[in-house]
Amino acid sequence: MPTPEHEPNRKWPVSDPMDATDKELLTGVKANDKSAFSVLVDRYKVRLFNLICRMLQNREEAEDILQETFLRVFKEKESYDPTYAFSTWIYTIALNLCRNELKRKKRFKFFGIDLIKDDRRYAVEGRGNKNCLSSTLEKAIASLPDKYRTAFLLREVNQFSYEEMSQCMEVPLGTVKSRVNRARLMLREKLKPKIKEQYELSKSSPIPIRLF
Amino acid sequence: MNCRKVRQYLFGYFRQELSPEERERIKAHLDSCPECAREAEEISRINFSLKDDLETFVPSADFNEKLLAKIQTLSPEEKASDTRKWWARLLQEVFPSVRLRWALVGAASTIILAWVVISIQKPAHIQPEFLSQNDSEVESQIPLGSEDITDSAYQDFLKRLVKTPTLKDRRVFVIDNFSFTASGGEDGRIQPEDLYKRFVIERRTPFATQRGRGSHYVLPVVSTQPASQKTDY
Repeated sequence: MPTPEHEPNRKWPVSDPMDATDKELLTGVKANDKSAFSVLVDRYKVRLFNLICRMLQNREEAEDILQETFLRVFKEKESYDPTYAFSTWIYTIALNLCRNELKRKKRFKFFGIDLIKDDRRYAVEGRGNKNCLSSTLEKAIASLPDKYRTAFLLREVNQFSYEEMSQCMEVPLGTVKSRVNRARLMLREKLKPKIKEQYELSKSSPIPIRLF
Repeated sequence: MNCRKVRQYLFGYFRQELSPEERERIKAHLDSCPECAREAEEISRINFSLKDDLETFVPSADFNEKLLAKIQTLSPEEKASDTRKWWARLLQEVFPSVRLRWALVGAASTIILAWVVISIQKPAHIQPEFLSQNDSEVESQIPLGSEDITDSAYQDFLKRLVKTPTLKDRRVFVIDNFSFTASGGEDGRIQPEDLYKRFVIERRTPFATQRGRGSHYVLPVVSTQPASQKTDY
């Protein structure tokens, strides 16, 4: 989520980099300020990493793509178009890299070489008791076709607005909405037994059905 | 709205993602259709907002160090604050918005495409070449007159040419500047080398002429090739 653009007229360096907006930090990066770049990296690495992990389903590859994303940001810092939010830009870069990587894998798969390793490790680490339950949901998300998975993750995990999604997925607004909806319907279909069971359990109570 | 359509909208309905009109229509349907209402009840309970539900993966602890080390290995050009080519820089200075730049590229390519299409569709106008000093002295030339000869004048001229009785005895006729040479050279024929780059009107082969029944001529072949290079049709 983009940092609120408060006090847009402030110039780099600001007193506290942690408090700076993305665009200010980018000004700092342009001025070769390492701390500005570090703050940017820290601000985005976890959310990007989660998205990339779920896109590629492989932790090591996700980390490579994450590194490549930040390298691109560093190399292309001058070509950033300030009419867009920085978050949109960095997500666009990350998603394009993911897309290329997935395409590359599919090409290999076409020739009989399967690069998609089912990396269990990426799903195992995390918060204790949720592991075995959430893996059902994790698997269901992983089984969505790429473009629906992207749409679903951006919307439901990264909490993007449809406008932001449309910009960083580079597809029209209507397409984004219908992809999110398709993804939800597909997930519901895949998780039907689980949802039914939970629904029966909590029929009389207003507790929402949790999928993890 | 039918049930299928309504069910597609249900998630959006409960997530406040629909327009007021859409909401109204869905609500009206749900009030009247118990099956969809049951479906809606279930969907309304599904919590798809997964922000806090899924595990959070964290990149390895030394991610930042590795990244910064990688940046150190970049070549000076890549590290330089501006790696863009001069034209890209200029373009961005003049048109800071990417959208505007793409619009510009689109407009430019549309114009080029339109120009190509128009120039393909409209054949180049035949430009009559002016005769050299030598040629203009040939007595037998009958100029058509005005300098701005239109295509229809050219067609008229061709018709006149076909009706000319002397055509029967000539193998080759030349049109220069849309004037017409009835005869030329010592033997009454234009030499092949004289014909180069002129409009040459050739009678068809005798065989074809016979088939053409008497005075009726097939419209002459117009060519800018030397007559000597032409063979049977």
